[in-house]
Amino acid sequence: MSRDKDDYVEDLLKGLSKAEPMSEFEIRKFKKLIDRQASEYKRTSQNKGFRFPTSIAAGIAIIFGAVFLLSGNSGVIRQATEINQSSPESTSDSSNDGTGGTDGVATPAAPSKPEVGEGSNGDTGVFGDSGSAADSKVGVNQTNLDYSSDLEKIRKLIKIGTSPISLTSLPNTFQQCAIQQGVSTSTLAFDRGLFQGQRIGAYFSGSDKSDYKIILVTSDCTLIAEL
Amino acid sequence: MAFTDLTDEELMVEFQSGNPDALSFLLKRLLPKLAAISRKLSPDKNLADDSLQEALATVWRKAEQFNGDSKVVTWLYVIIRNACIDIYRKEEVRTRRNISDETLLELGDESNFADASLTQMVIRKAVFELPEELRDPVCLVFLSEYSVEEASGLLGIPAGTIKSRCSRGKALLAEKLSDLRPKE
Repeated sequence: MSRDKDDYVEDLLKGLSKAEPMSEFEIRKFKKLIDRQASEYKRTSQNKGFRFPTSIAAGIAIIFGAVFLLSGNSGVIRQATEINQSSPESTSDSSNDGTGGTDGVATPAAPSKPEVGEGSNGDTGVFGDSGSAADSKVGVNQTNLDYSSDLEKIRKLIKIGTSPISLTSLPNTFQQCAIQQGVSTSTLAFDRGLFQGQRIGAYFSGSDKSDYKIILVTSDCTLIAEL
Repeated sequence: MAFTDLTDEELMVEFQSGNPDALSFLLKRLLPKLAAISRKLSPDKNLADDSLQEALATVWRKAEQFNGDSKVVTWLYVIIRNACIDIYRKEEVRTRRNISDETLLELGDESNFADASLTQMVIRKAVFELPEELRDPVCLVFLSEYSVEEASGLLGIPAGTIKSRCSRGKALLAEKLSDLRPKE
């Protein structure tokens, strides 16, 4: 290309700082990312295949709502009371339904509970209430347990959903991090806890409860461990 | 048929026929090239890697809509270029705030570093604001230092067109960056 009076522009552009080329190690890291993205794509494609079309689901909801209003609530309330007064078997059935209502997704921390720093909550409170369907934080937990010592207990506590949780339901600092770690569309549950005393976030990422891994990161998104 | 025997375009068709592994293979095969683009368009490796990561996510989201109007590699280049510009703009806002509020005040006239950073930002901004048809040839040839032939292959336009667009882009940049013209 010919040089002319505007050639200082070329020099300016060539003088800009540029990142060094990617090493083989870094290339391998990105290949793993592509593998993860491919798995996520396959899983979401499968989900799409089985998903109830929104319009049909909305139609069914409207019909049920209309039936509910036309028949009056008293019948429904009476029926609920009868279930509560019946045998212990039917009570346990009803509690199972409560979990099933959220597709097995772990329920959110109680709103009044502090986000961080309040010590372990054990088995109560955090997972106790099934919450409302409209709650946007389904699948987001705060066990405050230590993943280096209480892993089995945590695995029992965290309920792994059948579909990924919404990115926006995660705490702000962990939303961007989910993208960075390549788990933005495969996180089935999230938990705030500890690792060797350090505060961490834990993404439960995978396709279902029999196939997932736990990715532990610090609040600045440094990867600590994959379990 | 083995994926290795297929062209980029054929792999894309295979993906769109319902085989996600085809896209995975395609992206891995082109990864060194894609990584080079993001690294050459970005001022540092962290921004480059963030951009590439963002771009790969976009590819998975949009690959079903690829319609074959351009070469696959050109389509990928545009996605990476857009990701680099988006991420760079966000970083630029943050850096400008830091430099103007803190560094410049603290270092005053001794701040060659801050001056240099601001100058680099001004130049990149000018390039990224060029009309798209000029921006890509200028980015590839002058910023990323690809040869005219390589840029032609990547963008899918003749080498002669690349040359003329580079000249027009250079002239436009000379107007915008006249303050940076060396004193004679």
